[in-house]
Amino acid sequence: MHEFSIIQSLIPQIEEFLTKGNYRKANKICLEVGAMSGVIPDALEFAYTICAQGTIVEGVELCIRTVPVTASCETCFIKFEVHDYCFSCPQCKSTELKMLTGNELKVKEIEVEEM
Amino acid sequence: MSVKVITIDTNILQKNELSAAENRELFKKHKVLAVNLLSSPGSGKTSLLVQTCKSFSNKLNLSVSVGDLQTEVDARRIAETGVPVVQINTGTACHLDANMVQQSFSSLPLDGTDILFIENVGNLVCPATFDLGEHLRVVLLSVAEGEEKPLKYPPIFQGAHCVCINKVDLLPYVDFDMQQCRDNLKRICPQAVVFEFSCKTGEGLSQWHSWLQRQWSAAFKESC
Repeated sequence: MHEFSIIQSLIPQIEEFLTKGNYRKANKICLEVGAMSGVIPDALEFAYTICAQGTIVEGVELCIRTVPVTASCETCFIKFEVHDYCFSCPQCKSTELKMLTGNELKVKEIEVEEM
Repeated sequence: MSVKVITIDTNILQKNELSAAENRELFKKHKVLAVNLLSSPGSGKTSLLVQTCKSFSNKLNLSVSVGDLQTEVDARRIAETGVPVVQINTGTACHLDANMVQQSFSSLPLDGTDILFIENVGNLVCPATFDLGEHLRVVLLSVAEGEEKPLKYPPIFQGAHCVCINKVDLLPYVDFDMQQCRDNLKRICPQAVVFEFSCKTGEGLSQWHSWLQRQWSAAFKESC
């Protein structure tokens, strides 16, 4: 399950951030996960509870925001939310689209306690 | 002691993104067209590569990196064509990442390679998330898997430059609606070019080979 790989990539980044910023601890980590990223938020949370044990983020709350799939039409230039993975413009039916959101896998915010 | 919220806004997979960018630079430097081949286990990735390696033997120089959890079975099959190949065993990882692929370059003649195929681990979910630095993502499915496959696994199909439908020699024996499959692909990945072929009989493969040749020419011929 690759959510474990993703959390194993996340934890050292958080450790480095806290150390470099000289923060006392993190209270909460907020992630953004795109609906098309191929990552399942529940699986990510499960992986986090396992991998966080014994690390600097043990006990730190993880919040995950899902980002919807949105696109812009290269023909009529409207921006829209993609529903049911239907990649055509709802206005002009063009399939010349540029995906705007939906592939994210980001650390968005960290709530920290300063020294 | 004060509490504050700090905006980070960084990619969790930034380490993979960096490795993928390094791979891109290497491909650019050595004029290599890199193709990431993805599918379920058993769709025919290795068979497709064996046929493609044989077809390109006097045309372009191919190299292959093959990803599997265990064994060198696929690498041995490809090696019989005479094409340089290296097996990446991931252990328990369900996908290749950019660093694993980069490590494989030391065993391949990248400088003399025109097209590098990266045969990903058989998996229609996890590999979608990991950029390997490739130019092209090719997703393979077989007629034995059902025409609804693209609807069931949208992330991997949505990112495809090309979708290949294999094992068309089995069409008389399976309930596979080709038109419905193509309609499903138009919905999920309208930008993808679609080929139908049989790696067993050779039917339809010439169009795939021609497309690959054109992709390589478009990428590098002008700069040669």
